[in-house]
Amino acid sequence: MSEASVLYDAPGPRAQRRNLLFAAVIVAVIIAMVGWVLWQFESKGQLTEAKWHPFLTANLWTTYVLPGAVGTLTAAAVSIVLALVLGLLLGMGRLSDSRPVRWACSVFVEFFRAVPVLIMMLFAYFLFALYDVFPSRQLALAGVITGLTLYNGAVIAEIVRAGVYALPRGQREAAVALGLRPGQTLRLILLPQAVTSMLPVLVSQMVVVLKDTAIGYQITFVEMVRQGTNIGSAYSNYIPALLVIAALMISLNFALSALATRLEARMRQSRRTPDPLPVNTGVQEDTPGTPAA
Amino acid sequence: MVTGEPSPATPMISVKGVNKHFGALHVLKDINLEVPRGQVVVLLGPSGSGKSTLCRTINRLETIDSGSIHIDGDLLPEEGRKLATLRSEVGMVFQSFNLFAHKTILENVTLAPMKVRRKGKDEARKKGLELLERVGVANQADKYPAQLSGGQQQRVAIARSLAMGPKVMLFDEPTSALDPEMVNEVLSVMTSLATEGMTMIVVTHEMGFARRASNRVVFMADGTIVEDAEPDEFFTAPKSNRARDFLGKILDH
Amino acid sequence: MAARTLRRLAAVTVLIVALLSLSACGANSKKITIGTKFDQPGLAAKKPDGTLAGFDIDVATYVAKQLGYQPDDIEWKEAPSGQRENLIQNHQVDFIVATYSITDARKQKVSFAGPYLVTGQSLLVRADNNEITSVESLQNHKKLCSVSGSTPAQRIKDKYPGVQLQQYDTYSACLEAVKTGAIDALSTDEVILAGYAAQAPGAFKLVGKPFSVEKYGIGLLKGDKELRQKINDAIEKMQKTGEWQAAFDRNLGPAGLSAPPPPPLDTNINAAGGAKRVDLWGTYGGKIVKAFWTTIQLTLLAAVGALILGTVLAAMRLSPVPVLRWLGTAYVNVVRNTPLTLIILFCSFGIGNTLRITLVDPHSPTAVVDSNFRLAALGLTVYTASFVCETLRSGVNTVPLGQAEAARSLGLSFGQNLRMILLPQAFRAVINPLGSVLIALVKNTTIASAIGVAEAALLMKEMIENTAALLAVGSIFAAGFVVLTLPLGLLFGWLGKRYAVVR
Repeated sequence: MSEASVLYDAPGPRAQRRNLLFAAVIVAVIIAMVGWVLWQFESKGQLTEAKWHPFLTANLWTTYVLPGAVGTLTAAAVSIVLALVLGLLLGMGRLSDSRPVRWACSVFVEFFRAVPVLIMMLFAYFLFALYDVFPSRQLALAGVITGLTLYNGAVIAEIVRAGVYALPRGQREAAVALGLRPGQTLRLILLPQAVTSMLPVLVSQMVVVLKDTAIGYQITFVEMVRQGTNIGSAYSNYIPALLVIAALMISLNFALSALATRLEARMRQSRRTPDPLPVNTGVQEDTPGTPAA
Repeated sequence: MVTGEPSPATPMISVKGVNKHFGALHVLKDINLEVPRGQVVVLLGPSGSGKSTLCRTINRLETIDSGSIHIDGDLLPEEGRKLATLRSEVGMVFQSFNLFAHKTILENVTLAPMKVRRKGKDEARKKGLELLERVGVANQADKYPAQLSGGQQQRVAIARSLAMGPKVMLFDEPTSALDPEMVNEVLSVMTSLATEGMTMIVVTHEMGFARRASNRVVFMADGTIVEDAEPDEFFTAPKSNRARDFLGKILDH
Repeated sequence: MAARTLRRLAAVTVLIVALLSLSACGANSKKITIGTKFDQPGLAAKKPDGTLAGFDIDVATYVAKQLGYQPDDIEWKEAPSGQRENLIQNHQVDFIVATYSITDARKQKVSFAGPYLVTGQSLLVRADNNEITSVESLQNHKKLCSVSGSTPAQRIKDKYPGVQLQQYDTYSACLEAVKTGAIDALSTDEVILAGYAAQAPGAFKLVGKPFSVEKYGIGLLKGDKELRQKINDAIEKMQKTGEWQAAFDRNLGPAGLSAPPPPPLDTNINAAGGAKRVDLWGTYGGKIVKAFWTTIQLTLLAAVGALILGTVLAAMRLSPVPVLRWLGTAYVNVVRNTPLTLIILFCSFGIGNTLRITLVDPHSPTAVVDSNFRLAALGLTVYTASFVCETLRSGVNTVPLGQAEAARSLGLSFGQNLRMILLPQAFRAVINPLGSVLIALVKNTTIASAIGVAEAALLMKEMIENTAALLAVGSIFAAGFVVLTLPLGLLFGWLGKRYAVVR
């Protein structure tokens, strides 16, 4: 059964002609819009060679783009690792048998999913500056990493919980029937399977982390977006700079997202790995206050 | 083709030289089938024989690569309003019932008459309740599908198709998803339809229904029609090896 | 297996943290760290090859030499306007030469040597603008650009309330805006303006006489009398040897300024008047409520827009017309992979300034504020719509597709199928995830502060910088967002259960 034929009929000749007409009209409209935008840019001097030429010079890339990319990738990598650790600990805490532990972890998780990342970054940044916790060169980086770690740690905790709940109930029952204690069951049976099934979701969470490093723009963290505006400052080519930076970031994030989807598809097909948690393509993050889906 | 008053000799369904591929797989190989008005045809065969696919091509849920399909003398249109109109005259009952889960039973039955045939609400409701009464679930009219048993849901599905006043009904394994004790209530509705003269094409494994209620058994294997005979003849003395093989396997238990 | 993975993770983390702290401790005791600006041409700007040049740089280098450091021993650190005091107080720089105006408020926190330059606040407009001739002419609802963390614009607004302020992060952003005509004027110290004007000859002009007095000093640790004396000696020497005039002519001559007589050194190290304690709630209570109200308004506006646009996109992605499907997919893939910060900046710079689509009546007295708000709402709508679309699509996937087939078999058209069978069930199935998207939207409104929308995050920045009551301010804003999002989460959880389609 072909996929298209489920929601709507396979097009007959008249429908195919109509589709072609649609295509032609829409393409014409798009060309008109793009043309208008380009004309506006031209009249504001955005298309002059002076504005675009700098991108061909090595200086621009080594002085601006490279540090920006290094900043973005460093912050993302460190945050992801720390968030994974934090998320695993918190997730296990929320699944623990001890009521106080569960409660404390729950409060922590709910709180850090409710507060915006920017607020956390601002707070961390000024806190570190006030108490001189980090040397000034790493101040912004520390602020970004703290904000991202706290938030994504909380999200990953929920993903871990969802992963454990998504396992067939029989797994836990069989472990209990064999005499394993709850802690052992969690550690030896449930978590290992859950972590594997969570792999695609975790990869797509990495895309979120990568994107959110751009929030560090507002605490003067040297990352791609800030470097884009710095390029714009230095060469007076704001719009071209932002466009180039956007293209770079979109490509990177798109590649990672595609990896997540491919990983999920392969895991579904393979019989050796447990069923992957569906990469929730619609949702960026969980809701505070709702139980894991 | 002629679209005037069809003569009694015009077959209700006429399938000529139909071929279909799924990618490289040739699933329907040069099928020819004529079903006269009022006949009840049972399509039998092992899985992968193409019987479901053939059934679905008749209301163009599946397209065909070559050949032609006529319904009551009219060529099956490829698209558009004409296809929708023709579809409404061909009722289809699915294996998984496919009732609209967010609407009540009565709403399920009245939706299409109101939106496709543009009947008035009261008229549709009256007809709907009659049909629900006929299939035996009138007292569930305001419930939602999830609240009914499988057998009840399938009967509602039949009523939903009947609400459009179809000329021919297609059944794609209507009882395969039901618990054994509910199969009979659905089969008895189908049998009563047959007795009233509805033209039916039924893909099923229910041999009892095939023997009792059908006029004709069409046995398919590997995309072709292997045997086409009356039920008694087919079940007691199948002509082809394939058919004998098939019957041997399923009638044993 | 999981235990091994965990151990590996822990090891990697420890390694990374160790590396970071190591790189931080690489300080060489023979070096001197000087804070300065990186983006003020003529005074202190980074050249494409990475080195710095300008009048401030020359002064700083001269002073460092007098203190015994060669130019190679100098480590330059960027000192954005809002962080200069922090950098000094936290020992992250030895002194700061960064167009640092000596003010009593700042004398509370740091000490100043100098001044080494006296200038005044002035106005920069586009070369062909004849409407603005002085500060007073801004009163007529003109749009003035201000840079976050600096005070000139706020001062003008206090004196001439009719002025509309647009806040950007950098001077260059302001200049772009003045060039395209989106902003009428930029105001800051005359020397800074001259440096920028010199970069784009013929595009800008300075108007009016300087209307304030700014004394640039060298900021250092409060109370360090010895260092202050040494730096003052160095400045005096620079002026006496003529090196000061030479540096001025070299850096600011091309901007059309001629070297004024060097200023006398300031003898008063102490600030006039005592420290003032800021009453948090009294001063800011009303502003906090207003900021959160802006957050709510942004959320509501963007939510409605995103819902509509997202539904249209979902219909496009599901439609039988291939071009529409392709367009919808392209939109979602591009937007979902772009940081929201970038999208909002685009809305402001690209759509607002370059395409001049400001969504407001340009003659309205609140044009700038409204325009920023609407452009931010537009950016948020565009971004969130892609998530709404994907959520809806996943919702359609939960509807057993046999129902779509049944609908087709009954004769319903694609449109009827979508409207009556698929979308109603899809919406009901994704109430929870849609709630998630809404809560993410509430939090994402903080990004709008990047273009100066007066919502919660912007106010938080301002309050921390002005009151330094970090813990209190942080708690207030965290609490505010928890109050906004937690009930929403609970509400959607309940709604989701209530309206779920039972299968």
